Amino acid sequence: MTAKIFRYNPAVDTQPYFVEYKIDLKPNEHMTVMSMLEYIAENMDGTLSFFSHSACLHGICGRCGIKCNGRPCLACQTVLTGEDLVIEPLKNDVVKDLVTRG
Amino acid sequence: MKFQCALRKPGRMKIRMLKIAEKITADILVIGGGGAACMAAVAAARNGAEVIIVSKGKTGNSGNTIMIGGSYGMDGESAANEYHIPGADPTFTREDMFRSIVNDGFHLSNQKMVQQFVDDSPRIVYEIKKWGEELGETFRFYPPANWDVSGRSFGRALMNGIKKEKNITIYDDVAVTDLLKNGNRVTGALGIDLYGGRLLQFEAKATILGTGGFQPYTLKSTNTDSTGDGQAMAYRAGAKLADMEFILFMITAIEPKEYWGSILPSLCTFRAAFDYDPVDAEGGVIHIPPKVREMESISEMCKVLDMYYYGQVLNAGRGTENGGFYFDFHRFSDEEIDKMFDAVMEHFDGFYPHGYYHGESIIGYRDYIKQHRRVEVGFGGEYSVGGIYIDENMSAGLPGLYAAGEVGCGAFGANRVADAVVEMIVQGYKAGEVAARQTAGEQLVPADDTSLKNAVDTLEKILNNTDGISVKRAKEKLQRISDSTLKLLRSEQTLAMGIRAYEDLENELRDITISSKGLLYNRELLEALQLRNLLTCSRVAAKMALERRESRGVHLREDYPMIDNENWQVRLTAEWKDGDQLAKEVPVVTRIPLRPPEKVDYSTFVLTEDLGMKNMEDAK
Repeated sequence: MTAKIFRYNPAVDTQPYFVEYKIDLKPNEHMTVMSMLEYIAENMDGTLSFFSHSACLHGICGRCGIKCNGRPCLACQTVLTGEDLVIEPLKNDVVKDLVTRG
Repeated sequence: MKFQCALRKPGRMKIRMLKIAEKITADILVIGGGGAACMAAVAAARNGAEVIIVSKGKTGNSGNTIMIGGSYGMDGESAANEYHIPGADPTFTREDMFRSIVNDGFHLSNQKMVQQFVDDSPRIVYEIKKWGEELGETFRFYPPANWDVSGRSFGRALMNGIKKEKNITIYDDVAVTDLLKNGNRVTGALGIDLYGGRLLQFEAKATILGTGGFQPYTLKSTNTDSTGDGQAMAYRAGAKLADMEFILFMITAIEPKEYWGSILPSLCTFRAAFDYDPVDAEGGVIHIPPKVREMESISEMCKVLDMYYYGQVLNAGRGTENGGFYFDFHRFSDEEIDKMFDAVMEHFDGFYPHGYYHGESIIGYRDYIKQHRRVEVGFGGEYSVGGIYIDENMSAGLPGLYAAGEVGCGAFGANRVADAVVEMIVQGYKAGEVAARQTAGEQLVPADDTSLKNAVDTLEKILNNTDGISVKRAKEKLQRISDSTLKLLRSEQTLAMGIRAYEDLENELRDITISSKGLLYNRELLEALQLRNLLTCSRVAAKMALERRESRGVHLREDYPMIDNENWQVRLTAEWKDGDQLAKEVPVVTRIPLRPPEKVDYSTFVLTEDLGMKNMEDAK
């Protein structure tokens, strides 16, 4: 599958852009969007930022909210289906990449 | 101030020189965002202090406080007689609670700290319950005097309490990296404002750590912020750690992947109506004594016995690739499985939306089990019993430093006895009260230059490192070493090997190399700092585990299976003096004498002694 991810680092970028990452997903893998973002950050691009510094991973804190194909969702509770995804920050107040204030 | 600049390697990334963007002062600095930190802030403010809370996450919505999905409470005697709680059972007395904590902690508790827990808990438990109820949060009661509560609900209650105080300022999403000192005195801390990409220096008359536990494992049920920051920072600053070898595990979900790290499987077993067959990787039945299975729904002590019995199975190589095993349901019909999960859901209906435990669907888990007839589970790190060595006033032994909750230790001895929720709130409150009173007349002391320089240098070095180990590789190594070293059932050989591996990794970590070179939400920088802290905690834990040649509480040794009350009714402490200096200390005893000096069989002791605090929701 392909994940097209919103990137923006206000320290260096004049405007946001998207980067496409190709992921090999095993059937019935039940991988969450959060695990996919971790996978990308650890194996493909260490500069990718997403909410991870105080994450409950069980749908409690509600702070890993992002937009998947235009819909708000919690990264830790959304399971990949194999369908291609566009991932954007939930709000306009972007700190860096997918991390937003609040 | 001046910072030394390392030589620039030709053709490499520009050398970073970091500057303090802002210096923030207060009477009391509280580090952490959970129950211990919130209560410390409230108590300090009530005692006249200007307080700042600095939290790596969001105060009231971070740490293991929001992972709560259980109960908290007080003794039944206080509930019935002082707070007139309908249905409270006064036969569970203060004395019973005291005795239970000391017994269930295998006699390593500091009994003055147990006294503080018992004395202060009714008032503080009651007050937080009121804060929650003002917001319409529900706390379902069951005798003797416990209330079911969810972590978010508890966090909201705590924030309501904080809002009532005028003198508390909150800095959220600021990761404290080191304590700052002047001579022997702790004078504040250095932090990174993660969302602002700035360095902040905090200065206060007293600093209180309420930063929670440490979890170095691959599989764990904790928030991602449980990285031993407080323990490691305090240790670097000269405070002692103790009891680090004691780590509680719980049966935790491995599959389906979206449930990874959830303690839902454990919580299912706590319901009397829930049944399953434990089987190994090959499908062979794992024999667990029936008495242990019966304890699942009536005694917290089933957790230590699970560690004891499954530890043997996993050491025998019968575990799955993930180090787990299976709950098997082949002998149950769909209707029977439905009934079991109805009981699970009924329990959680009181404090979660129907069919859910936290954000996870119980129905989804049930249906996965019905489809596959078995589900992989493992032992995940749940709670670190050890931590900063503190006394009954939460003093950490250095002027200006206090600690409370999971980051500290002493009340629970060798086991997590009952209620870590109550531990954090009563200790947090005490720390805030004592710190504010003891420092009321004092002046602020600035950090000395060396201390500040060292803290900043640590960050600059990580930002400037090249060609070293990656964060991913370092994290995998740390987790893998911890999985095989600080496991359920330990031995001299695996511990000694693990300590060497930790020390090798420590050398590699000095050159850890990250991709982003700025301070703005630098995930890898934070991970690198956290790995350093986790490694310190793990190394000390492994050294204590190697030293303790017996089995006690949640430290189990394959090569020393007996509880050795002759030689080991002592606590281990560690202090950094050009190396980890371990020492033994006899626990503080006030009322309940130590056990006779003899060796006793671990499982016989747990199964035959009258252990297990009588405050569980008795489902049978």
